[in-house]
Amino acid sequence: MEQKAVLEAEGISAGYGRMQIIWDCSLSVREKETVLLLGSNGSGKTTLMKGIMGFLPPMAGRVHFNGRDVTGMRVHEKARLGIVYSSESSIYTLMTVRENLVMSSVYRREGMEERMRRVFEVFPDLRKYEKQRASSLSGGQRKMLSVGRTMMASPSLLMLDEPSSGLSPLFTERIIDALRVLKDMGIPMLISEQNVEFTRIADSVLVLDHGRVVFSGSESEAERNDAIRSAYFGIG
Amino acid sequence: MSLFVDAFVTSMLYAAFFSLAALGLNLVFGVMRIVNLAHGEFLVMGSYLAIALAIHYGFNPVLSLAVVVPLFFAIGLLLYYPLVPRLQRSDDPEMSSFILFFGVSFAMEGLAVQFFGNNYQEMNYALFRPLHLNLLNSTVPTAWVVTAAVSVAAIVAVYLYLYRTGLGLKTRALMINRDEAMANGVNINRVSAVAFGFSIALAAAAGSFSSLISYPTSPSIGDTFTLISFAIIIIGALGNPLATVLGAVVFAYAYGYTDIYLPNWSSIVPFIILIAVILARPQGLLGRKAREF
Repeated sequence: MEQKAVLEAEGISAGYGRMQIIWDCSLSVREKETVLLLGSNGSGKTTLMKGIMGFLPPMAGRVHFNGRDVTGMRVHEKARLGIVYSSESSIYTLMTVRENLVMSSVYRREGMEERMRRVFEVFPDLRKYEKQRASSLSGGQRKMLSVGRTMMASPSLLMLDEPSSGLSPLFTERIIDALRVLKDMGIPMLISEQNVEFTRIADSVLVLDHGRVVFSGSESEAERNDAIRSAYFGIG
Repeated sequence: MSLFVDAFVTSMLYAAFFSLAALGLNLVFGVMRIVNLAHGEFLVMGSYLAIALAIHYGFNPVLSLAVVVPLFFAIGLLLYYPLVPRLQRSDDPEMSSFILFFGVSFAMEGLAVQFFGNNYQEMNYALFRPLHLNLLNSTVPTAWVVTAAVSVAAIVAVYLYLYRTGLGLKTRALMINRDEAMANGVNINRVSAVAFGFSIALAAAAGSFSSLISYPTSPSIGDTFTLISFAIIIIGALGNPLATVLGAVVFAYAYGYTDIYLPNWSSIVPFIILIAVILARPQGLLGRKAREF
């Protein structure tokens, strides 16, 4: 049976001020689906994610969440519907690790302690530094905290902007493992990345180039596509 | 030695009062990244109200807080919505806020002249008995001690609000990472409006005591309080409310000691220290690298 679409973005154009970065981009994320938005630096991934979330007002296009038009909705309203957006800077450096985790659940307090226990199981380092400021964590630990925070939020849809940015292969592997936990929990995810390793947890792949969607298909179709094989898999 | 101790005790009491006077200005900057140049005028308005309550109803300033604080909190809330969100949509909210609140400050000063005249007014010291207390072998007016005690209580209350309440957690989230706070579902306008209300209420609370410990109240004294508050928060760290206390301690001790040993320099030395701090540590004594949170 075809899964219901959780997120549908149609014909999104967005940019900064008058400078347009992305043109007519469409995508959808279905229930329990992980969609990978693949693209090199400057391809417009972050702009598209921010346009969907509402940090940048879309110049054109519509966004639907669980069938509801949320195009003009403000960021905090979308967050309260259960859309969790996480980017490279998604931590509060001057708060403790615990406060960071609590902030993610600030509007979903029910079951918070249980979710925190789960986060500490997946990332034992975070329990060790629970009372320390996030600014004292290493880059990799900050990224763990960032992913841990998304787990705390109990999302209906998770949007992750470049979760492996600046990480070593070892840490990237741990992030992928953590995202697999979220995938197994049935959380639909939209992940923007330039690291092709993330195709391992993706159900479908979109490739963004110069602000336009140039490919859309399943993970296996992406691997068979010559242009993508050459650009991202180093084969061809 | 006695003069030295007197200066120490007096400066300590000034530091507490100056902390209260400047705290709200830093709270607003931290949460909204705007500068309220009318901060001192709100302090003056609070002072006029407290004096009126003392004259007409015999309220001492501590009792008058029960009226001043909620009233000015409500005024802050009411002023927030027509003023601040528009500023934050502008290309340069900080600069726009300078210009806007400069205008607000002039308008408020004009209103104060209209309603209260140009004469100086003061709270009656005799509201507190005994008139003097002995503190660390130094004799100081009871009114100063009460002012400092209320100021410390207000600082503790702000600390508890920021670090022990859910709303405080959201307020700090907004100070540290505005976009992330929104992504966590925080309604920035609601949290900012409350912070703005607190800021105005804190200024007015300081005003309730200002004529007892510092300058007599007049419409034009607001500028002086804004200037002192601004200097204090720059010395401490812009955007970090609790660093205000350190800024106030530095400012008050510089003022207190020069006032006793070099009285002609008392209004100059604290600002020389301000310049030195800006040159040596532009982020303030407790600040991280300029504006990095």
